[in-house]
Amino acid sequence: MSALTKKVIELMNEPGCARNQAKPEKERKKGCGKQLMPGAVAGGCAFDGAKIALQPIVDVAHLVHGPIACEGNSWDSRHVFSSGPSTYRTGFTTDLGELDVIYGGEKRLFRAIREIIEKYDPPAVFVYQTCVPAMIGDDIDAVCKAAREKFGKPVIPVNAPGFAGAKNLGNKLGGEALLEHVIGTEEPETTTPYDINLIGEYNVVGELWQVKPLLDELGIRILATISGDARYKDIACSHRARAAMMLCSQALINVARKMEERYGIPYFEGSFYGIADMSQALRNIARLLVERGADAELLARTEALIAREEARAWARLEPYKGRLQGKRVLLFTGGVKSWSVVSALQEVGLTIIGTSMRKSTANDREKVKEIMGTDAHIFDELPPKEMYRMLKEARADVMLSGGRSQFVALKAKTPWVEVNQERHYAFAGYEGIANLVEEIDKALANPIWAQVREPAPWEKEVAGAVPDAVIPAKAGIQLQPAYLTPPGERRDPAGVTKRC
Amino acid sequence: MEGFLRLIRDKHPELAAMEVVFVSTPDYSGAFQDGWGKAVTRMVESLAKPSKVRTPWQVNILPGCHLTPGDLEEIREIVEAFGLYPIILPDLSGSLDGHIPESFLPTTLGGTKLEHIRKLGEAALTIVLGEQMRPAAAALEKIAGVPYKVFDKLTGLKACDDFIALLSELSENEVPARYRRQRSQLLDTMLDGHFHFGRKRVALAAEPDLLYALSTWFAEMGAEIQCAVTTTQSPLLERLPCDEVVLGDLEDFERAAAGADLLVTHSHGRQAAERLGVPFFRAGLPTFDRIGAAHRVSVGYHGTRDLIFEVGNVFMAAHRERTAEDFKPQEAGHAAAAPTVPRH
Ligand code: SF4
Repeated sequence: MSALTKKVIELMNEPGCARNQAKPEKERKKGCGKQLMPGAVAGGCAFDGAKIALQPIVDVAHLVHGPIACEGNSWDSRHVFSSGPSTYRTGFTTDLGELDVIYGGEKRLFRAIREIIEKYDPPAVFVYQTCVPAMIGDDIDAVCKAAREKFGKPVIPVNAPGFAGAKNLGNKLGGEALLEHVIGTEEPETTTPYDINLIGEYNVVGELWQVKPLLDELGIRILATISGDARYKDIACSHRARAAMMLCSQALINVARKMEERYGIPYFEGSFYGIADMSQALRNIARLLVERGADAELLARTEALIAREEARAWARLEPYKGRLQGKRVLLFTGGVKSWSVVSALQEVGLTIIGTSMRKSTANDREKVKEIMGTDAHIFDELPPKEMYRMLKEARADVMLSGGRSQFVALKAKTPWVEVNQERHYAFAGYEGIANLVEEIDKALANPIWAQVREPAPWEKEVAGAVPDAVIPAKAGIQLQPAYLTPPGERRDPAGVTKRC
Repeated sequence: MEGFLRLIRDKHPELAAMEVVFVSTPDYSGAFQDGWGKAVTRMVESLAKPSKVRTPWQVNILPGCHLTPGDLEEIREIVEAFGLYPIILPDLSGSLDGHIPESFLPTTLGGTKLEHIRKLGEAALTIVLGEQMRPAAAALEKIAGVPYKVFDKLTGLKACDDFIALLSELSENEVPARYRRQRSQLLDTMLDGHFHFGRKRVALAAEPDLLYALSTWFAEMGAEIQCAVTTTQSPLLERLPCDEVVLGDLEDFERAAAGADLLVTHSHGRQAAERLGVPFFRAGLPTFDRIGAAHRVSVGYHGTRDLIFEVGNVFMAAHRERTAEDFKPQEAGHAAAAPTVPRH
C-alpha cells in the first residue's frame, strides 16, 4: 500500500469529523473520497483542495508539479489577500511536456526548485503533486528531500494528486503536509497566554482583517492563521498557541485534532459568519484561553465588546428591514453558510426558500431546520438544470452561491450574490453581515432585472398575434438599398403617427 | 443681417443659384447644442420644400450634436437594414469621420447634399435624435406636414427596442436576424456588467441631450447620479435621474463630484479627475487627449453593449484590493469599511 493510499484511508476515518463518525462503517470508508460525478457541477480535485488550503501562505513559493492546466485553471482566481509578500500569487509550475511524461519529470522538478530559490529566495517551497507525474511515478518526496539538503531550505512535498479524491480530501492532505513537515519545526520569539491559532481561515478578500481588530482590542494574539495571510514561520511556530479555533467546517479538522493530540492545544469549531456565530466564537476563544491560564478578566471584557458590536451590527441592518421584507433567497453554497447567517438574513426580513447542505454536518442541518422551521427546502444536490428551472419560475428573488452557478442565475435573469472563494466582498464578522445584506439589497435593487425580463419588440408582436393576412403589405419595402426615385404609388406610412 | 443679405442678392444676380442660410447665434446666448439646433432649424426653414408626395421609404434623421460620426454611421446602417432610405441632417458621418481625401481641400467633404435637404419634405417620417432637434422637426412639419418622432436617446435597451420597433413598423419589415442577435448580446452584457455599475456614484457634466442620454443610461445600469452639471436649459433636465441639476461650469462640477466613483465629461475634466483622484470617462466635445472619439459608437444594441464594456472596464481598473489598513477601526470601537447605506 502506498503512503498516499494509507494517508487517504486514515483521513477518511478522521475521528474528529462528526459527519464521518455518524456514518455506518461502509459509508465511512467511502468518506470524503467520494468519486466525482462527471457532469455534475463538481468541486475541484484533491490537488485543488490542497492548493486552496495552503496557497494563502503568502511568503512561500507554491510550485505545481504537473502539466500546465492543473495550475493554470485555478491560478489567480481566489482572492485571498496578503498584508505583505506576494510570492504566493506567482503561479509556479513545472509545466510538464510530452517528453517529461515519457522520461519522468523529477529532474525538471529539481531544476524548477533551484530556479525558484535562486530567483526568489522564499523561506520555503511547497511542491504539489498532480495526476500525471503521480501516475508516471515521479517521487516528489525524494526530490524535495534532495532539494532541501542541497539548498538548505524547507522544500515541502504536498501529496494530493487529483485522482486521490475530491477537494475536501485535498484540504486535509494539504493539512497533513503541514503537520508532517512544517508545524513545530521552529520556535516563536515570544509567547503569551493570549496566543491562538485560527485553523481553516484563508483571509478571503480580507475577511481575517474584519475580525482581527476585535481580537487586537481584546489583547488576543493570532500566533498563526492556517493559512490566511500566514508567513511560513508563523505556521512553523504554531504549536506554541494556547488554543485554537477551527473554521470552515471540516476542511482542516485533521490539523486541529492532531495539534490537540500532539501539543495539547484545545480547539473548538466555530464560524465568523453571522452575528450570533461571531459572538459565540469570541466567547469560546476567551473561555479556552482562560482555561489555559489567561486572566479571567478577559471574559468580562469580551462580553462588553460583544454587547457593543452586536448593538452596532443590528443598527446597521435596521435600514434594510423594510426594503428586504418578504424577498426570497436561495442560499446555495458550502462557503459562507451557517445557521447564524440564515438567522441574520431572516432578521432583516428575507425568506430563505432553500439551502444546500451538501458539505454540512448533521448538526448544521438540525440547526438550519430549527431556524427555517422545516427541512422541506434543504437540498443535498440541486443540479444546474433544476436550479435554472426554480429561478426561471421565479421561486426565488435572489440567489447566493459560488461562482460556478453564477451563470445559472444570470441566464435565468435572477439577481445573484457571490458568496464563495472567488467573492469580492468580505462578509465575516459584525461588519461582514452588513456587507452581505448590502450586497443582497444592491443586487435586488438593480434596475436591469426589469429591463432584461421585458420581451423583445418582435416577441411582443407575436404576443399581439396579428395574423399575417391582416397585413397585406408586409413585404411592401424590399430589403435592398432604396434610392430616392419619385414613388409611382403613394402609400401612407403605415401606423406611424406623431407620437412625441 | 437680413437686410444685408437682401442687398447682396440685389447686387449680385449672378449668385442667385447660391443658397445662403442665415442663423443668428450670438455668443452670449445659448450653448453649443442650442446653436446646433438653431442652425439645423434655419437650414430646414430656408431649404426644405413643401411636398404633396410621400416617399414611404424615406426617413429623415435629425441628429443632435451629441452624436459622433460613428453613431451616425451605425444609425444609417440600422435604418438601411430595414430597407429604408435615411436623409441625415447634418451628416457628419461622411464628413468628419477622418477619411483621407485624394487631394488637398480647405473644406471638408461629404455631408448632406443640398438636393436631399430640399427633399426632406417628401419623407414618411422625421426621426429626431435629441431634444435640441425638436424645433427643426417642427419646422419641417409646418412646411411639409412630415410627422416626427423624438428619441431622447438611442443608448440603452429600452430606447433601442423602441427605435427598432418603429423602424420595423414603418418599413413593415421584420427585424433582421442581426439585430435580434445584437439584442441578445446586449442582454448578456447587461447581466455581466451590472455588478460593476450597481450603486456606483457617477458625476456628469455635459450638454443637456448628452447628459440626459448618459445619466439615464447609468441609472438603468444601477448607478446613482451624484451630480449633474450642464450648460443650458432643456425640458430634459426635469427628467434627469437626480435631485438637482446645476447650470454651471467645471468648477461647480469639481466641487459636487468629490467622493464620486466616476467622473464623466469632456477632456477638460481631466484635471478635476486628477485632483479628486477619481477615475475619469471622457464623453462629449471636445475630446482631444484620446484618439478615436469620433468613431466611438454608443447608440444601438451594439453601441450600448460596447459602452457597458468601456465604462465597466474603467470601474474594474479602478478596483483596488482592500488592505488590512482598510479594515482598521477608524475611531475607537468602530470598525472601518462600512458599506454605503442605501439612500432611497
Ligand atoms: S484532477 Fe489531476 S490533472 Fe486534473 S487538475 Fe486535478 S491534479 Fe491536475
